[in-house]
Amino acid sequence: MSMYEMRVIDLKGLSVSNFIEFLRMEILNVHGYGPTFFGRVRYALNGVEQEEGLPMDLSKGIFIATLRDDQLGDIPREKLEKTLQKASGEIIDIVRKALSRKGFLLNDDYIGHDEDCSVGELGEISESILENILEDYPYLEYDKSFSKPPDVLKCRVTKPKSPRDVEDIFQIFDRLRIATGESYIVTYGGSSSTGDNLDEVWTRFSLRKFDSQKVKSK
Amino acid sequence: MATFYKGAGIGTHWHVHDSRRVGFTARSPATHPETKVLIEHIATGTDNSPYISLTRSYAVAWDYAMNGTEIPTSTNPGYVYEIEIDIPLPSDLKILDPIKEVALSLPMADSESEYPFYQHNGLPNFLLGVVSPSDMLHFQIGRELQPPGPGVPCAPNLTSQLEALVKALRDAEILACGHIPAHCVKNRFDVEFSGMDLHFSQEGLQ
Repeated sequence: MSMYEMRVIDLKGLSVSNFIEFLRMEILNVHGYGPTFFGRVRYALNGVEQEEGLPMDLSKGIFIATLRDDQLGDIPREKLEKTLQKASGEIIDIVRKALSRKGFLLNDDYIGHDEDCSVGELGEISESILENILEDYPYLEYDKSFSKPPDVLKCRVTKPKSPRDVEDIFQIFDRLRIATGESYIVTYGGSSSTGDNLDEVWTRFSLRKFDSQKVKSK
Repeated sequence: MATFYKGAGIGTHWHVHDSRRVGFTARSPATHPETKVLIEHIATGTDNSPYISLTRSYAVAWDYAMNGTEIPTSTNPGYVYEIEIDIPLPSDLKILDPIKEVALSLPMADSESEYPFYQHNGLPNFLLGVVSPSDMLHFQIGRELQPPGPGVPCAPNLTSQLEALVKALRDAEILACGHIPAHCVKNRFDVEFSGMDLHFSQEGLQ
């Protein structure tokens, strides 16, 4: 297995200007250490992909280099800088969602293009994202028959006596929320008797989409 | 004499401009230096800053130097500048420890009027998400544990002060305010990407 992998995140669909197109983000990942704090955005100027990329500080969400004067052509410097500033926030949103979503695929030698990761799509694929997440938890399965995606997603343990960890529910909850950008309320339960600890005997859980704008504090 | 480092990836400003000749100048020297601006400089990398970021750690500078428009090679390397600043400092230069500067601006722990407090109210591993939001953002969101009672869930509190403190520590960051003269830049090391520089152990790979 290579010690390094280049993660490539598709940025197509991000439209902030007609002269520069942001194509993809490349992030070097070192096995055991995770991704670096930096990434390189591949871009096209006036429809032509450039040999060089534009580096970004992923922690601060900023470009740390810009185009040289000889690369600008007719493009005004001020217009470019405004475009980069606007794009940086949107790129960071896409990258963070994609990295969180792919966090559970770290065992792959190479993670290729995130073909399905484009603006506006993540909220519509919560079901498939959850199924991907569950691959990390072999004792759990997606309960398709009782779910109502994307609003209600249900999961259950595969075998009644499978060892289980209630912390896994919250890990899945966090990953799903990061990946989809949606808020959820998580509930878990199962058949229990007096004296049982539900954290140990739970058999199912639900992730219910939650819009905090619609709920008022009592 | 204090030694600092600054990394410059290919295509970045201090890669194009050789500070051994021109020294270091902030992006916006005319901006009035104050703690709020300092915090923004560290937390969000604002352009409108009178500060120059340096680091005590050669490794941090190396990491910055690795990241430019291209991956550095032996024929097209990144740079790590080594800067030595003698005491007393030049009159137009100040060296600041951002941790101390931010700490001085924080409210008293028993203050009732200062909300949100600068500390977070998430889980202990919340800070992992602040250190590396690109891939650990889920730690920032945490489990939203709250005292029993009414109310809607909300994400743990992250203030710009805390973000600046964490990032400054992460990057072993020191700030210079003013002009760093060229004669303070003692070396410019060429660096190229090589896995050997990362020194990771077998245990770390498991």
